[in-house]
Amino acid sequence: MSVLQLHRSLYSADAIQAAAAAYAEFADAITVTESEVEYSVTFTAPDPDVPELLDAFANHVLFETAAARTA
Amino acid sequence: MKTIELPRKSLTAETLGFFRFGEISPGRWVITNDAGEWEILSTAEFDALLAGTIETRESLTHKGFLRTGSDLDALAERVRRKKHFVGKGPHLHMVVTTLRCNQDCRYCHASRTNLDQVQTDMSLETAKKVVDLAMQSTSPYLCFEYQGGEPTVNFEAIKFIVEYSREKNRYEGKTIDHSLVTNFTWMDEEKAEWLIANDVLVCTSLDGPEELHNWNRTWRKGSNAFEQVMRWIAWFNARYIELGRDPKLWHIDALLTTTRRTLSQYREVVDLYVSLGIRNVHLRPLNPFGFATRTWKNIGYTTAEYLAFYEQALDYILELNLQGEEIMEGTAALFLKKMLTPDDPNFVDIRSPIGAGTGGVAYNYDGAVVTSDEGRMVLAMGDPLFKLGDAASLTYPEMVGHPTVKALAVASYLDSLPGCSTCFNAPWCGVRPLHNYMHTGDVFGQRPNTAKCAEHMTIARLLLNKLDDDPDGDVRRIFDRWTVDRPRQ
Amino acid sequence: MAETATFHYDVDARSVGFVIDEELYSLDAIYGAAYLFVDRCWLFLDRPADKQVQVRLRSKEAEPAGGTLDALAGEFANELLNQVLRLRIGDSTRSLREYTLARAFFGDDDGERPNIDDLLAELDAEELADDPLEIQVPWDTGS
Ligand code: SF4
Repeated sequence: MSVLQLHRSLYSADAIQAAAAAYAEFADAITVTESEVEYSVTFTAPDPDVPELLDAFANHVLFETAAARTA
Repeated sequence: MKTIELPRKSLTAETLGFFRFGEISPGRWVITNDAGEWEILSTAEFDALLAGTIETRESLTHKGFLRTGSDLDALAERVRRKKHFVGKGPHLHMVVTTLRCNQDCRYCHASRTNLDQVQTDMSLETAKKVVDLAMQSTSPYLCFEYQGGEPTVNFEAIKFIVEYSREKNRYEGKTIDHSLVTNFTWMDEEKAEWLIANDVLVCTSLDGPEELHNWNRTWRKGSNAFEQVMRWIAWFNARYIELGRDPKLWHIDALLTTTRRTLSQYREVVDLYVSLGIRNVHLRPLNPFGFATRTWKNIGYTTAEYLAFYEQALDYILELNLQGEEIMEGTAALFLKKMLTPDDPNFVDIRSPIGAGTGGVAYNYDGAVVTSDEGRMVLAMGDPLFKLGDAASLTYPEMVGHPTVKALAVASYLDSLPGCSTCFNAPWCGVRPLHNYMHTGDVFGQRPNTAKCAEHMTIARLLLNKLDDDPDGDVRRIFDRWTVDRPRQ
Repeated sequence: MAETATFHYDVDARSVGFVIDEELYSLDAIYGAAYLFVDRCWLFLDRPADKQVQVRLRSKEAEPAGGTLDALAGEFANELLNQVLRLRIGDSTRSLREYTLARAFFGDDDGERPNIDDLLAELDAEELADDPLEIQVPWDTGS
């Protein structure tokens, strides 16, 4: 299990959901919980063949967040 | 902790019109706007422009980069002309008359069958539906492009479409071109005479000198595909002259597929094209999706390798032009038409939004209507995302208003894409949602990660830098020539 | 004399990190700059304090060659400055651009859109009055 923390004021929930859908095949489950300050994205049984999964996921969320602000 | 100190440009924004900018080489800045206008400035000039202290120049005002004295209505008119394709309807109709092919090329995937598979021929009934649908397009200009397989294996379908569309056009009054892409291995004089008599433009696949061409394009044992291509190019070109047609306008054109082996042979490829009187070498990278890893290792290359090849080939083509040869590079010519003329060539793959479904459509042998030829390949790989319906039942409004067409338009509208919306190249560039989809499962790609972004950015920079470093105007004169289209009729 | 912008960053074996003042560099500028590095870096944004954004750029190469990280930091800082300019040019020319595009795609005035003289007069008035886009104020002191 791996966890990625993303600050609520910097990443959008929709962007995280979009990234979770795009990366669904790389983990048994990707779940998102939120606290007052951040989102926690938990990857259950992440694909061991993708060593930089969380990094790529974070880039994808950044891209989706930026895309939503440009549109 | 480390520290960086950078000069901060001051901005007096109320003196400026809208523009995007980028540093195309150290100390040289390009500014561009929605009408595709551009200027290249030194850092000092760029800083002065931003600060509102630049000496007023006619070109900066006329192009709308400076606010005072600019004519926004005239600028709007130029934007309208640049974007003339918006709402025009598809003009390019790619028809797969059969999947059958007598060659088995290394880079051909999912789009051919053996010659005995007659069930992959387009029936005349389907061909009729295709014409009926295509001719509903609101575009005043149509081009039917015949592809395969080897399209001439089902020559009857080509004949039917040419004749039936001509018949229908007596009432429609459109301008219609027909264009055939053939490997020439199924050609005979009867077909050739018919193609000439009916003004069908003929384009062949020519991958380079004999060894390279034959390596790429495996044909039946003991035969020589290259010889066949040479024979027919000579035959057609001689026949056009016999019939009194201007050889500058009527000659065989060729399409090049770049494989790993092409990269080191750019001179030989270009020389061959020049020797055959072909005036356009259109360099395009292979689409890397759909290949088995082993095949890709054999024929593929990285984006960086392709771009290094491209730059060398472009330099060589320019060198030949300086010596008086008339040969151009096709992708550069498309960008130059956007940069140096008030128009846009409406090339369906490099425009914003992309022309998938709105500028061009592809019709499979069975009547499946797809957004593009690549969409047809994806369909053949079992994914129907890019299929819009069947020619037999699909209506024109359903076709151009299909949710996939709309999604592709949104995903390729550069103004709304991060990275692109502020990129100096946006007035000329185009992105490929289908490629993004094949790479990442999402039609919206992360621009800096896409091969097309790297390719288009490199080409735009190369061209602008060449135009900038051109004290005698030689490059500009050559590039201007590349932008001229001479109509055949 | 040209002013300078100063950026501080930390560097480790594989990454560089900036803490950026959001009052000087808007979030849109930060996103815009960071996004352009997704091909080369893994990017992480965090908020160490109110109105501050930490941007960490981690090289995709496990062992980046000497000097590459400092070069990366320089490029990022440069791009951040460019993004600020882009946004400010975009903001201050928005109504001109909207007018041009509307005119280009929807044809002649239907009587409801202002004509160009009205628009320019309006822009002048705005600039002289409350200057909502702060386009008369040098950006670095505009906060
Ligand atoms: S795809 Fe790349 S080169 Fe083209 S407009 Fe977008 S960012 Fe610029």
